[in-house]
Amino acid sequence: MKPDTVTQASLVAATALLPPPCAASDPAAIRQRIEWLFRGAAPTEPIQQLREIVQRYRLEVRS
Amino acid sequence: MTQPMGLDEFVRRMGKLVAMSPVRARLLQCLAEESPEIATLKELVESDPVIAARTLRVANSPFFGLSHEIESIAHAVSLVGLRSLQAMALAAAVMEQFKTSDPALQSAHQAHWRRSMAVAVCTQALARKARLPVDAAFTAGLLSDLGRLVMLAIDPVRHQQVKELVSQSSTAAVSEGSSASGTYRVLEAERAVWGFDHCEAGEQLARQWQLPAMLRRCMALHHQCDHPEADAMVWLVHVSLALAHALDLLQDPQDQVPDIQVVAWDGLRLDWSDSSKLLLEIEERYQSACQQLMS
Repeated sequence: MKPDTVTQASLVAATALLPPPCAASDPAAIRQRIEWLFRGAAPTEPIQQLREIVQRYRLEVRS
Repeated sequence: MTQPMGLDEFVRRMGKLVAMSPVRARLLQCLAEESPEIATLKELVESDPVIAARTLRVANSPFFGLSHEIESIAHAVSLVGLRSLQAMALAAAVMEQFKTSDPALQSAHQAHWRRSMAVAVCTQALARKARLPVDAAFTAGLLSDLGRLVMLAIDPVRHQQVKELVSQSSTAAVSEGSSASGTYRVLEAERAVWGFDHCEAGEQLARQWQLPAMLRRCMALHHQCDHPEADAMVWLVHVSLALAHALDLLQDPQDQVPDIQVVAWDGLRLDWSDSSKLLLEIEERYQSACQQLMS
C-alpha cells in the first residue's frame, strides 16, 4: 500500500468514529457532537458563550 | 508538495481567470457604486439574462422573506429597493462568474457555496441584532471566502493539498489531544502550499473587480478582527462564520468551530436573549435557501 493510500485509509477510519452531525434528539448525543465541534476552538469567553447558546437551543428546541 | 506560487503569480493568473465580458464588467461596476442610477442599474441587469434570472431567484428566496413573488427587475426595485437589488444582483453576478462546467470541480464548488450560504444566512440574521444593513451583510457573508474559490479555480491540485494538510493535522491534533485552532491550521496550510492565504487572495480579487471597500475589508480581514481597518461588518462576518459551524449547518462529520476573537464578540454586543428563535430561523432559512439557490 502506498503512503498516500495509508493516510487516506486512516482518515476514513478516523472519520467513521466521529460523532455524527446534529440530527439526533438524544441529549447525550447532542452534547457529544457539540463537544466535538468545539474541539479546536480556544476556550475564550465568546466561544464558551456561543457553545452555551447553541447547546441550550439544541436541547430545548430540537429535542 | 509543489513550490508555493506566490501572490504576484496568483494575481497574474487571476487576471485571466476572472476577466468578464464588457457588459458584465460594466454591470459589476454599477453594482459596486455607492449610489448608482436606478434606471442604469435596471437596464444593465436586464441586459444580462442569466444575471437577471439569478437575481430574481435570489429575490424570491427565503433570504428576503417577501410575501409577493417578484416577477421582474423593475418589480424588484419597487418592492425591495435599490440597495437590496444591488446586493442580490452582485451575489448573482459573482456566483455566475464562478460557475464551472468541469464535473471534477462541481462538488468542490457546491461545497464552497453551501458554506458561504450558511455564513450569509447567519450574517443576515445577526445584522438585524447588530443594527447593521441586512442586505449588505448578506452579500458580505456570501462573498467573504471568495478567495478560496479563486484559489480552487486557479489550481485545484494545490486546493486539494491544502485540504489534505488540514485533514492530517486535524487528525493528528485529535490523537494528541491538542487544541490547535482549525482556522489557524487552514491559514497555515494555505500559506505553506500557496505562499499566501485565502484572505489575501480575496483582497486581490476585490481590488481586481473594484468591489466596494466594505466587501474588500470583509474578504481580507474576517480572520483579523483586531486590524485597524476591521469594522463592525468584518466582526459580524467573523462571528457568523463561527455560528454557522457551531450550528452544524454543513453537516460535515469533521467540521469544527473556528475561534472567535474577543474584539469582534465584544464589539458587536449582540443581544442573545431570544436566541432559540433566531437559531431556528437560521436553520430553516438555510435549508430553503440551499434548495432554491443551489439547484
